[in-house]
Amino acid sequence: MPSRHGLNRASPYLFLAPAAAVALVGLVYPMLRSVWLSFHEWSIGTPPESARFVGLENYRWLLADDAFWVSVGVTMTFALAVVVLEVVLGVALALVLDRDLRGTSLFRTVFILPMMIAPIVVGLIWRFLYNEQFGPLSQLLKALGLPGVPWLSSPDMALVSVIIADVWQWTPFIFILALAALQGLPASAIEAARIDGATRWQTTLYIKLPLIAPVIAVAALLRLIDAFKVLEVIYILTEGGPGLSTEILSLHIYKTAFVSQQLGRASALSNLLLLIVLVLTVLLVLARSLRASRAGKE
Amino acid sequence: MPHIRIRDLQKHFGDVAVIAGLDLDLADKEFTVLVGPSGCGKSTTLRMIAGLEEASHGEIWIGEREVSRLEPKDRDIAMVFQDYALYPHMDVARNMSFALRLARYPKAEIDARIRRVADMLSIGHLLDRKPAALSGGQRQRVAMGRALVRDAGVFLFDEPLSNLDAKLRNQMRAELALMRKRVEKNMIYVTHDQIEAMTLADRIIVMHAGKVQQQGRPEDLYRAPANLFVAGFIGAPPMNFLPVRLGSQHGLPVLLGRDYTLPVPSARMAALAPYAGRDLVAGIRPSALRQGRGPEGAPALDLHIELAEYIGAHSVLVTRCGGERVIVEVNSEQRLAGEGEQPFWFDPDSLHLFDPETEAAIR
Repeated sequence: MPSRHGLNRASPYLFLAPAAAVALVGLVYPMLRSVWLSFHEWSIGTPPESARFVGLENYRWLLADDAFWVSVGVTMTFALAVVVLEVVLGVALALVLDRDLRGTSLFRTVFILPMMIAPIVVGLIWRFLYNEQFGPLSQLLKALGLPGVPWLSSPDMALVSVIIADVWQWTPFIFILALAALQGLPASAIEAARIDGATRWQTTLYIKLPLIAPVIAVAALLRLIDAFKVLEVIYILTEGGPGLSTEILSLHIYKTAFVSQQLGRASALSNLLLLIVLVLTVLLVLARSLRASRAGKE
Repeated sequence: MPHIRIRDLQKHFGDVAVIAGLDLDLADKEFTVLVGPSGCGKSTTLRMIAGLEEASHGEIWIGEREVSRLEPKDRDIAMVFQDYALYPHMDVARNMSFALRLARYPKAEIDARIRRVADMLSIGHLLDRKPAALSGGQRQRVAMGRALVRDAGVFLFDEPLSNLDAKLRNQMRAELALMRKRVEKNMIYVTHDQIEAMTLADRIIVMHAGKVQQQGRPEDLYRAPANLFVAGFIGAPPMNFLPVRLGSQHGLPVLLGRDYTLPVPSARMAALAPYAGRDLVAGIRPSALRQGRGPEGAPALDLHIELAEYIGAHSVLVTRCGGERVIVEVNSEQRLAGEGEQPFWFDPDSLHLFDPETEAAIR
């Protein structure tokens, strides 16, 4: 029956159409528009028709711009540092709290609270904490008779401070996923390891960690993608300063677009950021599937 | 190879005593089966011997060492779990060698041991597979192999066959029976399946409600159950129980039921003396009842046949005797002559008698 056959073939697309339409309007159009814009020179407030085609000029200019490369370096340092720290801390916390002791459920709840707070508020909290005259951290150092730390005013320290704030907010994300993965592990396999002579540490190293590794890898990838796009907390804390010391790419894009009002260059920057994140993601996914297929053959 | 001594072992969860004072002596190279219904404390006992569960009270001796405060790894034990508990991320060889690698055995020694055990269990061709790529029976063998390469003094089995389907379970049970002849170790095996217990054990320990009900060789438990629980638990189909009262007929003591009269086994005359006029429970195995009137003077029960279940070589008859249900096991070759009420005779010495208050056997 050809008609039924035809319906069967078309129906999946029919069902997918609404979602595809939303994606088209909300995702594909802005992306294409951004690509189009990156080949033009255009300022906010002027009519779109006044945009002038400049070819690859925006990209050429960016790649020759020192500020761009500084920003790439800051972003890479920031993203790598926060992901490594958050994974190590999050997994360690999960290992510590993966047991049935009184009070652990309270700790679990407390530890995931930072993740629930809006990034702007996190920025404000840490700006207060880091305040060099009245902030609790400075007060504490003073009370201990220690010299003050230029949390946000020194170029070297500012990036560290910003990393600390992000680690504070997002370690819980790794923590809850790692904890869920740990609690899903088969209890008897861990008991078998105890019988086989594994110490607590060896059980963690040889049984628990390898078994939760796939979950952690996905969580870390999500965090990495997010870390490349972080904006609010740093905007509130340092606005990219001092100098360019904390000017991550998304902040650089923001400033190029809305401070310098160069939308073409900002679009070119966005596209480069997208490209970096895309390449990183593909590489990581490839590495994982390569390892998985090798493990399957073993 | 050590023997195991357990003294006043107790386990409490809050106010609930799961094991209330257990004493056991397990001899060298003995295959001991702890059997009982779920919740009887047999698995908890095994886990306390393994060190996975902390004893609330009591002592566990393995050989000359008191181990109840030691970590599992220091107790010289190996264990096979109900769900196999294989390490999912390691292949079979690495699963089996995990303990040896932790103990830093030389590689040649590890390889030799794995090859020997893998050959014994016929899993040599599976060594580079992950557990996910194995069938249930293969996983079971690997779990067994992982315990065997350890060469520990005591092997513990926690319901190792209960996750297998019936056919595979029978096959693995037979292989276990063969394996235990080759591996002369102290083995403790927990199961709720009395057939596994009967076929594998040198010694069966029947547990119920956290207490040992009876222990002994399988045939002793079958022939002379110590109480009503053991009598009903060991043997399939289970023993029939008939309420009776010790009375007399023509000056001779007899067991009077509602619609039946049973003779008093001559060997029990003396033991029954204090029970004159009192209620008793008479037990008779389904296989002890035989169709017909039997030889002259043999006691018989008139049973009303309600259902005949054909199993193959045997058939199980579901019958009524007065208000009581009586199960009879007959050879399927013997064609049943007719339906309805039929006489079934038995040897009076095959009767078991129990005190209904203490539930203990009267011997």
